[in-house]
Amino acid sequence: MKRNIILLALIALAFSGCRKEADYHPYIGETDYLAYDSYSTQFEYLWKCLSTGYVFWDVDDTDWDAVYDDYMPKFHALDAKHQAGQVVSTSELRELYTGAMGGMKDHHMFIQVKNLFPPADDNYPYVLISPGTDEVKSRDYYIEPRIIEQMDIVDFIDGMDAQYDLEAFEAATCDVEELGASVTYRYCLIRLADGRKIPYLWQSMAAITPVMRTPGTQGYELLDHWLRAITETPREQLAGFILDNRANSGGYQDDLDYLIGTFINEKTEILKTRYKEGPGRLEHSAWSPYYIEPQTQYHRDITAENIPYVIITDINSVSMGEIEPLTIKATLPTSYIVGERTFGGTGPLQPTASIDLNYGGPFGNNETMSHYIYTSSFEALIGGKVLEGIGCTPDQTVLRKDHNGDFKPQLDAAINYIMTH
Amino acid sequence: MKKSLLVLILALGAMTAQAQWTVGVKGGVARTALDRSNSGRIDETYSALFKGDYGIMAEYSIAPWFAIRADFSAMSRSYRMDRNLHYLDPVYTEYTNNYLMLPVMADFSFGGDRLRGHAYCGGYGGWWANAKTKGKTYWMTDYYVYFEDFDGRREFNSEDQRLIAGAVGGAGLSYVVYEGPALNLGLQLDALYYYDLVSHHKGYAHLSDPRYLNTLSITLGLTARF
Repeated sequence: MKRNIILLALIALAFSGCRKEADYHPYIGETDYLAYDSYSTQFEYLWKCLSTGYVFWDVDDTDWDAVYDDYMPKFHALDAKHQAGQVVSTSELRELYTGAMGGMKDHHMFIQVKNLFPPADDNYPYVLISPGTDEVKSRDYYIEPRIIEQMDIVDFIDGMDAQYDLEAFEAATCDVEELGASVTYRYCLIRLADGRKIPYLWQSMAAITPVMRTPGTQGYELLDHWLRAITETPREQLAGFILDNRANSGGYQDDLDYLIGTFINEKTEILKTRYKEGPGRLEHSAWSPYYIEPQTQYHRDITAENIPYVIITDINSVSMGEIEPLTIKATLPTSYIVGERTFGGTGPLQPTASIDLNYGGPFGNNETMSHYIYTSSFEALIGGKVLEGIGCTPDQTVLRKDHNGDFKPQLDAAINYIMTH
Repeated sequence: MKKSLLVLILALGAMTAQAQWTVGVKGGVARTALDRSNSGRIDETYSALFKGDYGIMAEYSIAPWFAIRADFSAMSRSYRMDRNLHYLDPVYTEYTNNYLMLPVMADFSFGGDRLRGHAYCGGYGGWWANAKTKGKTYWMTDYYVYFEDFDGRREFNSEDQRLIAGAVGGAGLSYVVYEGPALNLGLQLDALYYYDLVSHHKGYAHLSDPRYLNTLSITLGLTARF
């Protein structure tokens, strides 16, 4: 018996050595503290961090192991060049990183890598790559973003068409201190020939939530007028309403409380999100439903009253600028989208400082570190689909590029839809 | 050499002359813990869960003190992950992993005719048949964090290694309850330790992250010996 126990113990000891050890995984936030001493270690850490921290491996076709195999020898070659006393230019480095990471699907992604040993005359030794922007610029309907000016609306509506006219117009620009940015609004009340009205709002970014926290400001008043026009105008005088998200650069998720919550009667799931729960590329958390509660400040059941809700989008509607139309469309049956397929950055983000929340999201520091990677923290499932890199496809496509960049045909299509529904 | 071979054949012949079969059913609990690296991890901790282990067994006795035993069991090898970050500490996941296990062991026994002790060692193959996850996850807006319960089937993906193998060993007690002319009926209490040698996470060429399960299974069986 004693001999058997000793034998079993020896066998167990022998087997314990049969398990493989894990490779070193840098904790995604840990790279803030890493000091690189070569181009190849810099690339290796970023490759590993994205291997563990990139949330879209399930929908991204990039062969990440092949990227390592193809590019690691090239980074070693840069090290050899540096060690031989030759200069490694930032453009050489850019070429390698663009080849390795320039095709990734995350349309929020922004990669900044510092040339560790730049030439003395290089005043800005940084590689900047934005894979999503590069993809969007390659689309045949791409057009440069431009904010909607007052004249874009006033000129178009006021007196140009006998079917509709401009009853009121307001513009406001508000600072959003939390973001260190400003948001611009255009609000107008369009009056149709039959006297019915269409409240219209253009927003340069999604920042209704912080603006509505500051009553009395110009922005608050403008948004209040739009929301009150929608919710308080008698049904026979309200033809429909328009949310113009063209060139909307994104912003607050909580804006959906106003843009959807105002129009629902009960708690409603609008999308699902999940995050990286572990370092495995496909190691995600469970999908978590994202709910919106009915608004109490403003409310109207537009579904019951069959009121058209038209959203205008363009190729420069990004992030919340496209999540808004996607979730509105998935939730409210009287909604309709006019314009262009949007940018495709649908993954919600969290600040770099919140890196501990999960395995994904932005990491590094664009000012003090030799790298900064801005990447989505969550994957979104909207209408049952992950739409990263695809964006919001409108119900009715009207391309600015087909009209010499003019904003008017898209607005015209939106108004025509409301007039006929 | 020829002489040795002859002795071995004669010895085996003598053993098989006494050979008998024992078959049985068993059921009990399996306590499983996850063994994985801390490299790259954030704040989560893993703990073992107790779940069920049910199956059948067959044993072929070659000598009074030695038998070969094979089991086939449905074993839940489950564990739990908890987040520790203070404002995410409600988040947890219970991973329920149902395996079909096929251990094949040498059974060294000792003791009397009715009550015998057993020591086992061998290996096993296993098939990760299905998986479920249950727990609490979070979602967040710009200002708030919300927690949601979830409970559902876990779909397998290309990172999952479903066919696993490992080493198994343990100890047991058998007791003959009924001694008949054609067969004996007995009870079998076993404690077996399953030690995975194949990671259930495949990992990647340049970034491996193996995860192994260790399971202690304690089962009570009803046996029939012919």
